[in-house]
Amino acid sequence: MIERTPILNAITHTVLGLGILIMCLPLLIVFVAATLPYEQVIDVPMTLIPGSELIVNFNKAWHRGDFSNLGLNSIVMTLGILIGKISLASLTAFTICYFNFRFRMFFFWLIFITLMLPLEVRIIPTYEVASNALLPFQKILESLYLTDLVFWLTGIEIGLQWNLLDTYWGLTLPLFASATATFLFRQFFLSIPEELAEAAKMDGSGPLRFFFDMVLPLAKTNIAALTVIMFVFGWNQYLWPLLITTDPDMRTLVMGLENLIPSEDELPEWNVTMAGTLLVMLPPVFVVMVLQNHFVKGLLGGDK
Amino acid sequence: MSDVAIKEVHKSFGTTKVIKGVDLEINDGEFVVIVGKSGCGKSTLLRMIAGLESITSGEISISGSVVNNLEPKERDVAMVFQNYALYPHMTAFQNIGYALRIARRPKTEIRERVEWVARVLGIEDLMERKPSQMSGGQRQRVAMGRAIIRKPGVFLFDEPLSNLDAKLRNKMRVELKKLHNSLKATSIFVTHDQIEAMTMADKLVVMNVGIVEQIGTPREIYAYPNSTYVATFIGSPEMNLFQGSLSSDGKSINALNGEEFKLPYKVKSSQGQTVMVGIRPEHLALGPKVHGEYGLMAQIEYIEDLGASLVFHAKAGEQEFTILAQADIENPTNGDVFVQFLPSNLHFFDASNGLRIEVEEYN
Repeated sequence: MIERTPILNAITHTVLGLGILIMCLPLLIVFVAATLPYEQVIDVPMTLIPGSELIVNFNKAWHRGDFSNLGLNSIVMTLGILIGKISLASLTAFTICYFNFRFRMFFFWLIFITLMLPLEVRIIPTYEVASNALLPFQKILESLYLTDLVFWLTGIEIGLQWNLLDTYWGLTLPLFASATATFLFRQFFLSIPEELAEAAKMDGSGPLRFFFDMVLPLAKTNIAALTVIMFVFGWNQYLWPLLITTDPDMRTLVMGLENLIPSEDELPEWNVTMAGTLLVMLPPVFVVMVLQNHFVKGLLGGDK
Repeated sequence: MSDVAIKEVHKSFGTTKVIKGVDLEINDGEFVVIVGKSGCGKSTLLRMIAGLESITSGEISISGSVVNNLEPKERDVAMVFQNYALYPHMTAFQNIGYALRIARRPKTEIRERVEWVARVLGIEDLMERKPSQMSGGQRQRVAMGRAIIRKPGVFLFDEPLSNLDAKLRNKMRVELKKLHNSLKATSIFVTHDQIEAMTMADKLVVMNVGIVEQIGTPREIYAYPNSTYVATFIGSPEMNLFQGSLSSDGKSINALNGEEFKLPYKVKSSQGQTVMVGIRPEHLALGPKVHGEYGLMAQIEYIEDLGASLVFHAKAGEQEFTILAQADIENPTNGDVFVQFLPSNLHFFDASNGLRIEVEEYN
């Protein structure tokens, strides 16, 4: 669009500039604080000129926050959620798009409705299930009086038990299901011409073969876009890990930041806290930077 | 190499009947063209042979064994799709070799056979390109290669030339026919283009809303169309049809504002029946009126110049019709002309159901 609107342009730029300022100022303060020595960071007002203590502060934060251990947990959790979500969503969407089974649309809408039920809403029942992942099956058996029957017949009491608390499974599994990702994949699969599936069928390819040879490679940009969203989502998980882990060794980086916040009887070393914050922010930034090109393409849905 | 037999095949989508009982025998090595207007069920029939659509009732057998419940890959058939359906993320080489890769053939064999296909189709230098880097004609060839490599018993073509521009289409038509002559594989070709149908078919099948109207060689179908549908569908410009009524002895016909033509043969029909009289535009000629000749007065309204030939759009009374003539005709002008024809070139159809009425010679 070519238009000559100098006044409007000036206004837009001002609004944009203000927005950037509001977004970036806190980040700038985090960065500057992370580079200052303790003496300078407690000055009021704090200077906005970066110091030279960044590496030192990084080092302190790393050891004080047990980052090597928590970082591993964070990476495992994030990648777990990422891989889990993408495999589950792509396979679900594939089933819904390419198989003609009864109640297909019913299942699709069932999945779609879960958009309205994020983890925060269903956190108590989810916790209950996580404390025993087989609980639903136990309940089903009990409601059918099968447990009583088995007890009466054999004298064995059935008690199914799979505790996910304080495990990597517990951190990741309850977050696998993703209506957003399923929907995104479905929309993409619908755009793949039907002839392609038929051609593959004629070439002798079965459904799974078609999925891995055709659908997944074609969905590359979609997967990249989802990777960005889901990585940030997984990395920033706070409430769920907080609830499900009691063992300090199972905590994640985002939770670990809390330990860096100085308590009342400590030196208020905010520079170390900020250095830790900066470290925790880096991986998502890195992923976004590497995949941002695909991210835009994938969400726009074009391959060219 | 295989033959295909289709027996009493029906197909319904829900309550809509798409194929209403088709019988067809296709011999080994034959090039069969199924032609018909869009929506006549020709593509559905092809897809049923391929195994992409289920068969509601009836039986399809390939090489003598019934394939109704077999998967496409078990039927020994290969298909070329209308929009090529090339795998967009694979190179031409990978596209052509995909079927063999799935069949877990050794790499050296795949390479050898892909190279053979590329040589046959003359696409050796396209092998490393992806479909997005190819022109329509090149994609067409790769799609063909993907079918050839499997050396199937039966080739199925679903309007493969309809996405090409006219010039390329003519070229591919000839090439496809040459390819068939060298491979000698049974081929079934679906098209709505009557030129493709006429030029390529060993056996031509004309379909009309779910039924087969006529099966024969292109020559037979052109010369003896079974019905008005076939008569107007095959041949371009299409056959002219006039309404008329036969005399009680079937030896003369009353058409065009009550003009009476005596026929040198007898039309086998009930007395005084209303019939459709057909004549092809190329069997009409312009010329001076000579006594005893068959013809009618008409007015030329519009002339289309095709270069080698001229199409005259004429009108006699309320009846519009076309005349195809060589372009070397002198001074083609609009206005009143005499249009002549030979009675042997007339076709007769029942006006109520459109079926052909035979004639019988008498001395």
